[in-house]
Amino acid sequence: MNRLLNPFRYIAGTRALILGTIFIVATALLEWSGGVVQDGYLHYALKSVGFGRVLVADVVSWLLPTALLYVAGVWMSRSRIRPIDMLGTMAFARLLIVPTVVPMLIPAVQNVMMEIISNPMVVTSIPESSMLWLSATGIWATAWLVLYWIWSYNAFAVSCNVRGAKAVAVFVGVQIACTLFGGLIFGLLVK
Amino acid sequence: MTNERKIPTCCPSCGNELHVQSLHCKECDTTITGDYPLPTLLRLSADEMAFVLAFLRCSGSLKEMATQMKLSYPTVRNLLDNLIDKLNTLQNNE
Repeated sequence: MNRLLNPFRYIAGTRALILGTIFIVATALLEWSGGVVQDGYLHYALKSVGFGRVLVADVVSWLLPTALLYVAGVWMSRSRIRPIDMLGTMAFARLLIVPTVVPMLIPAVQNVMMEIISNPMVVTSIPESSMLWLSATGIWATAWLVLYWIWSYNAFAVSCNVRGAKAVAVFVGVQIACTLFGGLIFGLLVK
Repeated sequence: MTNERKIPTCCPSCGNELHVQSLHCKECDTTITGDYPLPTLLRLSADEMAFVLAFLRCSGSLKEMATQMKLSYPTVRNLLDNLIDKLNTLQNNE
C-alpha cells in the first residue's frame, strides 16, 4: 500500500527522471495519436496539433509545478534539496496521467465530447448509453487524477523533506497557481 | 542462541527518561552509585540507533546506504536530517 501511495521512498533522482521522461513522451504520443492536447494545466481538449506542441504542453505541465514546488521547498525546508530529486519524482508521477488520457482516445467518448462541445444545448438529446460512457470516463479520470495529486504531494514531501499542514497548504497553493498561470501559458502554446 | 537484553531508556510507568543510578564492576564487586544521565546516542530509539550504525558502516555515504536499505536517496537524507534535528533537541535539553 505504501509503495502504491508513495513510490518515492524507493525511487527518486536520475532513475526516476529517466523513467519519468519515458512516461511523458508516451503520454504525448498517446495524446497526439488520439487528437487530444492539454489546453490548460491538467485540462484536455480535442484538437489536432503537431506532436511537438503536444510534447511541449506535457513538458510544461511537468516543469511548471516542479519549479514552483522546488522554490517552495527551498523556502520551507531545512534539508539540502537536490533539483534532480524534484525533477525525477515529479516526472515519475506523470505515469498516472497515462490512464487519465486513455479513455479520451476512445472514439465513442470523443464523439459525445465533440457533440457537447459543438452544441451544449443538445446535452439532453444525447443517448443514455453515451452519457454512461462519458460518466464512466469522468469517474475513471478523476480517480487517477486524485492518485496523481497524492503522488505529486509525496514527490514534494520526499524531495524537500516537508510534511504537515503547511506542506499541504503550499502544495494546494501551487496547484491553484499552476491552474491560473497554466491557462496563460497553454493558451499561447495551443493557440 | 543469545538473548541480548536492551538497556531501557524510558520509564515504563510515566514514560520519562531514565537515569543511571548505579554501576557495578563484576571483577572486584565495586558498586558506584550516583545520578548519571544516559549518553545522547543511548537515548535514540532502536531504529535510529540502527540507522547511525548503518551510516558509520557505509562511511557516511548516503548513496551507499540508500542502495543497502533499498530506499531512495532523499528518503535516507530525510532520515538523517530528522535524526540530526532530534540529536540537536536532545543536546539542547541537557
